[in-house]
Order: sequence, then C-alpha cells, then structure tokens
Amino acid sequence: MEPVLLIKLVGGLVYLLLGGDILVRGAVSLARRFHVSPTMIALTVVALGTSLPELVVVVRAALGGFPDLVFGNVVGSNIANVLLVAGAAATVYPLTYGERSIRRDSAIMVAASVLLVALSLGGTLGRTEGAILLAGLVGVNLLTAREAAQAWKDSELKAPMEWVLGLPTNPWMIALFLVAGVVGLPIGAELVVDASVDIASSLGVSEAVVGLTILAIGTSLPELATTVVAAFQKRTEVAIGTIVGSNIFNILGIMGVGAVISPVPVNVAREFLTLHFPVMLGTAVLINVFVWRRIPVGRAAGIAFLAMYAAYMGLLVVRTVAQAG
Amino acid sequence: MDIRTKLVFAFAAVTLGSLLAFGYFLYSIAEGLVADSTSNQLNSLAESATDAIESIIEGWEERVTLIASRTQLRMSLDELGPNSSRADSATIERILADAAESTRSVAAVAVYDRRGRQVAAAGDAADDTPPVLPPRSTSAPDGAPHYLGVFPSGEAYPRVGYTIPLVLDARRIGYLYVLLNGRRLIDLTSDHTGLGKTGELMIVVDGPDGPLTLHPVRHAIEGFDPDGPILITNSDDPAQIALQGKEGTRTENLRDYRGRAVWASTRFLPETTGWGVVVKFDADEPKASILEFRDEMISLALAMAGIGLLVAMILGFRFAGPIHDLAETANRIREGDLSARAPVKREDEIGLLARTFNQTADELQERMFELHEYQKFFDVSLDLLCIAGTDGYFKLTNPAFTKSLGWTEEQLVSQPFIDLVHPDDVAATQDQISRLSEGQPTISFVNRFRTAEGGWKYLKWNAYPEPVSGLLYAIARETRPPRDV
Repeated sequence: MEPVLLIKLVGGLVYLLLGGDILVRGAVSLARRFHVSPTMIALTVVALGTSLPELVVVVRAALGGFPDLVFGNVVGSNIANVLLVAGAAATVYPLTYGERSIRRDSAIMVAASVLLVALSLGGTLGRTEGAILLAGLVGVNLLTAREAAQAWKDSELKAPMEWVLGLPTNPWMIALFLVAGVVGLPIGAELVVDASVDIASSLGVSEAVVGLTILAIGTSLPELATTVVAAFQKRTEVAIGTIVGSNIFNILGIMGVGAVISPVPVNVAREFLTLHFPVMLGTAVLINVFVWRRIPVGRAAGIAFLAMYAAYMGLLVVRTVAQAG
Repeated sequence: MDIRTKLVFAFAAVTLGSLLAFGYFLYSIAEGLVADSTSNQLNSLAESATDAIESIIEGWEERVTLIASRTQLRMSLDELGPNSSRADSATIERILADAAESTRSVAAVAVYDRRGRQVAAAGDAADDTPPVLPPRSTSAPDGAPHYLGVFPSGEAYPRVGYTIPLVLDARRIGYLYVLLNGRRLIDLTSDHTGLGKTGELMIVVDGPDGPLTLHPVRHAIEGFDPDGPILITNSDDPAQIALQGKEGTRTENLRDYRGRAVWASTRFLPETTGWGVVVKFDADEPKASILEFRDEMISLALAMAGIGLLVAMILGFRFAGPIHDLAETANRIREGDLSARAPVKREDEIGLLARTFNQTADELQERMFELHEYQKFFDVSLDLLCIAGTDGYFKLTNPAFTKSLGWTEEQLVSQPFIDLVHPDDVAATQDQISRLSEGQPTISFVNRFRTAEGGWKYLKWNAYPEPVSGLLYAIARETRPPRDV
C-alpha cells in the first residue's frame, strides 16, 4: 500500500474529527445567541454533532456508489465499539453501570440490530427501509430525550473549561467555526472514502473488508481514545452507555440516512448476511448478558473481547487471502 | 477561543497556505512540462507521418515512372499512326493489363496519343473514362510523373491520379495516365498508435469548398458518412492552417471538425501533392493529465495539512492541559482550599509557571497561617485594638472593644467614632487626630467613650499613623478617671 493512501486516510480522519468538533461548537454558540434552551441544544446539535464524522463518510460513500463501505462502516463500527473499545477500556479498569436506563438501551440496541438485519434480508436497502430506520431513531430519541439532556448538562459541568473557552462568542468567530466545520467535514469524508476505495483496490480486498476494518476502526478511534483515557482515570461508569448509544445511532441514524440518500437502493453484499450481521448481533447480545446480570466487564472479559476482535479481524484476513488464492 | 482551537486554526492557515502555494508552484511547472512534451510529441508524430506519406508518394511516382519506362510501350505508341495496326494496339493493351494486374496499387491505367485520344486502357479506367487531363500535365517536365489529383473510389480510400509524358527519342509521343489506390494512406491514418484517446492523423487536400480529408475521420460527425472523407468548413481548423503552408505546433485557438479545442502540429507537402498533414489531440487530453495531477496534489496537500492539524491538536492538548490544571488549582485556592497545588510535569515555561504558582501558594499558605496566629492575639487581647481611617471611621475593631463598650463591631464601624466621644473631649480628640495625620504618634491620650448602655468609659490611647495608607493603628486601655475629676 502506498504511504500516500495512509496520509490521506489519517489526514481525512483528522478533518472529520476536528470538523465535527468545531461545527458543534459553532452551532452551540449560535443556538445560545438565539436563546435556544440547553435541552434542545443537547438533543439536536450535540447529539447529531458527535456522530457527524460517521454520517458524512456514509453520505459520501452512499452518493459515490460504494454501498459496501456504508455497510462496512456501520457494522464494523458496532462490532469495534463493543469488542475493541469496551474490551480495551475494560482491560484498564472494570466497566460498571452508572445509568439506570442502561438495560433498556441495551435492549434497544439488540432490537435495532435485528431490525437492520430483517430489513436487509431482501438483499437491498432502499428509501422505505431507510425511512423505517430513521423513524425508529426518532422514536428512541423521544424515549430517551430527558436523560440525554441531563447527560449533556452533566458533561458541561464536568468540563467547564472546554465549554466556556471553547465556544466562540464573537459573531465572526461563530461564522468562522461554522464555515470551517462545514468545509472540513466533506473534505475529510472525501479523503477517507477515496483512500478507503484505493486501499481496497491496492491491497486487492473488497470494499466491505476495508469498511469493516480500517474505516470502522478509524472512525471509532476518538471513542477508543476518550474511553481508554477515562478508564485510566477510573471513570468507566458511562463507557457502556456511550457505546450502546453510539451503536443505536449507527444503525438507525447513519444507516437510515445512508439508505435514504443513496440514489439507488443499497445492495447488501452476501457476506454481510452470512458473517458480519451475525457477528454484530452476537456482540449486541454479549453486552446485554453483562448488562442484564449487572456483571461489571472486568479485565478477563476485556481481554476476551479483544481476543474475539482479533479473531474476527483474523477471519477477515484469512477469507480475503483464501478468496484471492 | 481556547488555545487548542487557536493552534488548530493557525496550523490550518499556515499548512494549507504553504502547501497550496507549493502545490501551485509544482502545478505550473508540471503544466509547462506536459505542454512541452505534448508539443514535442505532436511535432515528432507529424514529422514521422510526413515521412511516411512522402515515402508512399515516392513509391507511387516510382511505379508510374516504371510503367512509362517500358520501351515497347513507347515504340508501339509511336508506330500507332492514323492507320493503326492491330498488333501495336494489342501490345499496348497487353502492357497496360500487365501493369494493372502486377501491382495492387494500380487501379487503372490508360495511354493517350499526342492529340489526347485514348489509345488503350486497363483496369477500372477501361470502362470509366478518367477526367479531362488538367493543364498542368502538359507543362510537366519530360520524363517526370505528375500528380493530377485525388478521385473518389467508391471505397473508404481515395484514388490518386498521375500522368507522365511518353517520350521517344526526345519526342513527346503521348501520355500515360495512372490511377493509384490510396489504401496505404488509410492504413496510415486509421492507425491511432501513440495518439491517445482522441488524437488523429489527418491528410487533407484543398477542394473547391474547402479542405477535404482523404480518409474517414476518427470521430463520427453528423452529416458525413463515417466511412468516407469529410469536408472541413470551420476556419480555425488546423487543416486550413496546414493548407496555408504553415508548419509547426499550435496549442491555442484551434478547433477541429467537431468544434473541439485541439492542439495540433501541421505540415504541408507543396512539392509533390500539395496535401496538408495534421496531427492533433483534443486539448482536454493533455489538460486531463495536468488536471488529474492537480487534483491529486490538492487532495494530498489537504491530507498533509490534516496531519499538521493532528500535530496542532496534540500540541494544543499538551499546552492547554497544564494551564487548565493551573486554572483549576487557582480556583480551588480562591474557594479556600489553600493546600491545592498544580501538578508540575514539565520543564518548560508552563512548568516554571506551575512551580512559581505552587511556591506562591506555599507562601500564601504560610502567610495565612501566620496571620491566623496574629489573629489570635488580636482576638484574645484585653486591650482594645483597632484600625481607623483618617475619614473618622473604625475599619476594624477587636472583640475587646465589644466586651468593654458593649457595641457590636458593625455598630462601631458604621458611624464616625467621634460621635462616640464625650462632647467635652471632642475638641482634644480631633486635635490628636490632626496631629496623627501629620505623622505624630499619640501616646497616653485619654478621652471618654460612650458605652452601649449610655455610660462613659475612660480610655487611654496609644496610636500610630501609617503614612502610606493613612490608617491609624490604635491600642486603648480602660483607665481610671483622672484624679482632678
């Protein structure tokens, strides 16, 4: 693989990360100037904003006609969130459960995963299926609105420096933030999708595999970093909740938007139905086992999660090599 | 804006700006290189095409000369008088048939006598009388073949007509007319090797309505048979330039028969046929490679700037983090936690600041401790201790004041203390105060202060003025009334 592709991939991920962050900060400042209530801000701008990187990548991939990248990113992110992010964090410090709603949210995650698989059984995911997923997202948000707002207020209290100094106040600065975000995100998406497609062709692997591995890990890196850093500071009570929330949004929101905006119905590659969907469902059920029995995810479980992730990655490599040979 | 964001914006501006400037520089160099190499390529293609066409023409001329050089043909023609002998005529016809059959390139051949009468013909021209001989042919130098023009063949290729005088013993006895198949021209122009996706070689001849190609063109256009020649009408076509006799490569203001902007190299063959030779590419094609290069450059510049932003972000975290810690520590101290200290992890300016901050906090904590110690003396003293301003108000009084006079501290500091002084002592007290404001301490001055219960107490004062702040530090002790009262 050419180093240029790696530079593009990493550079693109930085644009996605920074663009999303700066756009959210600009939008929060703008909303505050117009006296939008913090609850509304939390539910709209911030909720959407943290998933913007994945969203623009999927939009770019769907519009560019790379459906395998769309599926690969969503499914791969969900698998990586549980096995890689939770696994790595649990290896540092056991993950406990702070939120009361975690059982309900975990169940929603399984339901959303089952919904996605059921809709995909037809072989394609069209506008109707996408709309069903988005409707599901609206339903889930209505159900969890109050807690989401509270969670954001808590985070604002915890990190006053970020939220006070990090927010632009001058209207020109707000405009600069918004423009920088709006320009940066598509640049990042373009670079990342381009690099992914080129990496796939230069390594001779399918776009699905690149989506499931490089792209999924790449877009999960920020979560991985924040969760592991939090684990080192022994603040692990929100980790599972964050992962579960992110997985629900991935399926209902990102896959939904991807299916709705795609010019043609998104084709579901066979390998998803036979391998990747079952793995995703398996990881969702796995988390539920821990959550419902209220067993903290300890170091042993964390190492097991990581081992499972390594095994899954190994399986992808072996399959690719077998197909090539 | 926080440091991290400032750094990110600054890095974005600098890296993007410099990379784009550098990219533009490389792009303009590359553009020049591509333009140069494309025009060189066009030039050499035109050169080799011209060589190939000239060698084809040379071959034709040689063939015509070869047929004309048969002595038997000329002698038979010479013999062929008004009383023509069958034998001579048959000889001529046999010779022509031989010539027509022996080379595939000969489509037709005919012999005319001095008066322009056809004597014999073979090949296509046997049934199809060739066009009237152009006047040029008569002025042709003896013994040299002369190009007459191009004629349609009914096939994709043209036919090229030649004439040559038949000379015997320095007498011109007639003309040979040869029509040659121009198949090799088609082989040449239909071969697009080295011409990319859009390039083509064109051979054009000046016609009454404008330049005509001798062959089908690469790109089909409306109104013309895709297998036949086309007429060129636009005046900025390179074919026009070629036929004007201009040679060389041009990259501007040229449009081909499709109306597309093209880069072309032109040649002219005035000596032999008067044909024009054009080698051209669509201008988009060399530009496409430049544009592709430019897009790749831009996306690489953006990606590198992204890596730069990553560095800015990491630097931002490294700089802002300890400052955040410092600010948080300062906040805890402000809220009363004097034992709070900032973590010192670095050896740079921020580390120095954190160390100095911590030393200041140490000092502050020590001072506060000492102050606390003195506070105890102030609180437990039986003497009345106070600080007063020259404005006539107490600033601070100790508990002994309240114990002795009965006023609360609030009551004491909220009114001019002179109001509490016995009317008879007011003048003397004011005198003392004015002396204090001039810097003279008061020693053992006695006056009477009103108690909360309405009685009077004698107080003996020692007071010192602080010249800088103008505050009076005073100690009073209850004393017995003077003896004379």
